[in-house]
Amino acid sequence: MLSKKALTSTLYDLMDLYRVIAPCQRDGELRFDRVSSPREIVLDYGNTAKSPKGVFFPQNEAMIKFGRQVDQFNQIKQVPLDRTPTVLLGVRPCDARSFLLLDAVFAQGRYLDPYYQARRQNTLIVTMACASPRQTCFCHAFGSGPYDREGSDIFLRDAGDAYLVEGVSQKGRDLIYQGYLGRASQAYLDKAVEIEAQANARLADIEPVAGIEKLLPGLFDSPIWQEISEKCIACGTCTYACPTCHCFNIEDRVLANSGERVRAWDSCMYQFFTQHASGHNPRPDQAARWRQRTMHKFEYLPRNVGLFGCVGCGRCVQSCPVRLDIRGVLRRVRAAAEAAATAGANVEE
Amino acid sequence: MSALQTVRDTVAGWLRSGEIELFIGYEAGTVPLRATPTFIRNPEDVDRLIWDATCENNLAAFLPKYRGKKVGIMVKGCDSHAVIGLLQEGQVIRENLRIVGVHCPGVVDVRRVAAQLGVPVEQIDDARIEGEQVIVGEQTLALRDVLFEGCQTCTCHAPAIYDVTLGEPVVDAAEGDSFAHVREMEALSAEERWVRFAQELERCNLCFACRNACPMCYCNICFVDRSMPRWFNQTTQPEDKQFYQVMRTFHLAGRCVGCGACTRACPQGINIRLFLDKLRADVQELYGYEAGEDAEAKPPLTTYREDDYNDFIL
Repeated sequence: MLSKKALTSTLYDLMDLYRVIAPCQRDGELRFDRVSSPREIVLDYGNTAKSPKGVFFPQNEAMIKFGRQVDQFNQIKQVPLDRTPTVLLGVRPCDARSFLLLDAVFAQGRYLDPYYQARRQNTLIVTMACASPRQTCFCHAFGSGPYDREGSDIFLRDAGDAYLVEGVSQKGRDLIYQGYLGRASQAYLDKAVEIEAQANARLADIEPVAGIEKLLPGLFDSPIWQEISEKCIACGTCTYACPTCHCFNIEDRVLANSGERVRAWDSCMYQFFTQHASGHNPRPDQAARWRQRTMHKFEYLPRNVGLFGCVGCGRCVQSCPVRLDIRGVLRRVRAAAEAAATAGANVEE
Repeated sequence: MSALQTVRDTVAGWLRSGEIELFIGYEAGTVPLRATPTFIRNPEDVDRLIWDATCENNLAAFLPKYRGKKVGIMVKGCDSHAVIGLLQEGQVIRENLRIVGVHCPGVVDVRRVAAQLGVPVEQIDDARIEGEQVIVGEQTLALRDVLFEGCQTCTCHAPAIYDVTLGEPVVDAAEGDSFAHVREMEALSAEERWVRFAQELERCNLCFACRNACPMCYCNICFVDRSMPRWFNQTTQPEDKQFYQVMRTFHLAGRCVGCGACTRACPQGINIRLFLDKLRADVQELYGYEAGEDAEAKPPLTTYREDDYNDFIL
């Protein structure tokens, strides 16, 4: 148990040992950034508008740098990997789970991303349970919830004037045992449970997502994609806000005598995302692009890595300039699948 | 029967008669205080159509996609000027349009509501508009205090082009007010202006919501998407973001109608219309021209007059 009064001094101790990244005010918005003082940290918040995926997968990242020698850019300099011991403090359970999906892409299987792995392996995730979910939150549709420990190393729960601190992983437990935190009394345990019940009561009703991956392949040629995507303006804001979106572009940023090869976030919503050098675009319209977005998150990823490409954080719903609601997309998918099944059953009769 | 129901019936009539094959309007959204665009092809669906201060999108941005088709659309005063702008540039044909022009008293800015209540925008879960008030949970705000900034100095409440109208005429702000923010910036030194410009763009993500929400940004291949040459990189380095904003702004010189859709679309709340309004003010002063006023008028940057301002030509 950690009293809220003792939090600041504990954080000072932590900052002696680790780079601490936490929610703080930067450029007039609340976002995850390195803090130089515990006083900058904001733990009492809903969720940030931008996800913390940038901690492991920055929006722009130089992968190599190069310099010119006479008339060739042939001085290649490796960019050092970032292995700074880090604590990522105050993420919500949805965001902690999102890192598991990013791991499946960047740190598993045949292709391992050293830039991502260096950061990920040297970071401890300290999650703050979510006491007030928004009405756009739908983590519970994935069988998760505002108090889900999955993906966390340490899990904090609000218990009134203190936090309950749990070690979830071995890494997390090791860190906790380095300081004396004291056991929580029953009163604090009860208070934490009360807050959790209030949090759960705020969750809006929604159908579970599980099973949708079976419905999607049959809808590849459905007209619903045109209807769903008609109001999409293809701005990519959803992709940039999303904690699990991970598609990227690689381009060379060249100055007169030097340059860097930069990896930058890209979005499948952009018109030229799949533009070929020949001029052909296999996803020529927003309908095709929305079909891909939905199937990538809710069919291809579950099939390939066993995880949905969505954690139900609701950021896309909040930030979309035309309020295209992915929960509505899932409802349309289910309705269309049901209609097709009924039609099919009628034909069989 | 309410005025809105009359409009719904009119739209249903247009669809039934085949005067239009599609109507673009607004319907209730799933996020508080923000309506969402709706695309109606079936006359039975017209009851989805709403009109209130949550209808902030400029639906004219969708028109270039339906080139050659017969389309109906609901437009606020500002949006209607975008329709005229598109007519000026040959992107739509008047005969193919059926326009519901709305006398708009202004749209609500959720960020302002949040700022007045001292909470983050995402924390607004339960909110609605009732008459002249915005009710958020237990609290009440005056709608006029939380309108989008551009709406508070609006001089184009009335639709400038329409087949039918909705709503009662609204009093415009005094003519001088709408460029007050531009004058304020102009009064600063060049260095101060640069600092403000760079600061404003610190939060820019280069997501291009501003471009995509803009009715006048309809180029098949935008300069952003060119790879030969690659005009700027897709990074959030200041020079890349600044280059994009400056170039988009200048590509809209003499074309921007000042609707503010860019600013409302920005997920970071950047004051994008400040830059565009500077150019609008300049074009008005130097060429005596305003985009989106007269469907027959030729934009100054595509025409030549002997008395054209040309002091910038060396």
